[in-house]
Amino acid sequence: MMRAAIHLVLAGTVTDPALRESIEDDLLEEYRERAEGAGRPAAVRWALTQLFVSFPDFAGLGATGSAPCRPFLGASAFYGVLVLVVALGAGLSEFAIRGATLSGYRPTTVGTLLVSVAASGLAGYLVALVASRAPLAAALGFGTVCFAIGAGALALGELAVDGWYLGAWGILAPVTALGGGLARVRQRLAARAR
Amino acid sequence: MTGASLGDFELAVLLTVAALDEGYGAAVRRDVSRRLGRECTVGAVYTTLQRLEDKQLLRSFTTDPTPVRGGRSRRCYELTPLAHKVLRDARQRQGRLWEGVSLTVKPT
Repeated sequence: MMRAAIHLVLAGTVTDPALRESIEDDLLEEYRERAEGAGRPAAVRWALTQLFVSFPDFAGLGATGSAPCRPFLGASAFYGVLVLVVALGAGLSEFAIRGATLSGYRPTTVGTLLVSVAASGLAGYLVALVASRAPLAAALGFGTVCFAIGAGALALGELAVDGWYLGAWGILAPVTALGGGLARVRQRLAARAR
Repeated sequence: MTGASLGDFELAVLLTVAALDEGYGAAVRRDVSRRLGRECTVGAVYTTLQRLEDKQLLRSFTTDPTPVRGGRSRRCYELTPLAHKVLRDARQRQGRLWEGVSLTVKPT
């Protein structure tokens, strides 16, 4: 379980396979030692804390040496998305409590949402492709604009689609846009490593 | 003086690698945490190790497979000749800074 969690986080951030394997082994070694000494719950807490706090650093570890702005971008993107998701989660919960969510369910709108979210991911990738100097920041910026559009439309109340759609899109668009940006960054790093 | 400048944490990591027999990531993290008296994260240690490698103060190599890791090897770090020079310079600089300093409390 913990091995899978560590592997997942590192596979999504560290692009150099040798370095990734090395970090994974180090984390697992310390995890096992702590599990034997302090117990499994304490070891799990330690490992999860390490993964959470180190995420921006892992994102900044490149395959071809460190660029000065990469750790900053990784950290900004990670915490930016985190704050955004928490804020949106709180906003959407309130929206759901008011009972507007499920009453507006329609299959056609679900299809539209899926297409919109996929488009956000693709747009995030393209934005990162164009803004090659700061791809993650650009993708996150694009996602934030998507969120602002969704939130603005909700606030104005002049909805051509169901209200829940805008809420869901507002949450998913920044995440998928950033995902598209990350895909572009990883692709570029892998190409550089070759 | 050399061209390479060192931050506090970089110096701590470099000294830790110098002190360890086998300077691999987990061992460096544990030892540097003990030396600094605070828990250092894996990410911070690896970022610093990579930065020091970029500055050509460390070089990494892979050990033979070890049974502790189920037959997998470790990525270890060792100091380069440039790092030895940088550390000597840092020590001399520290010494000069402390010259003539007395921390005894004078009665008021």
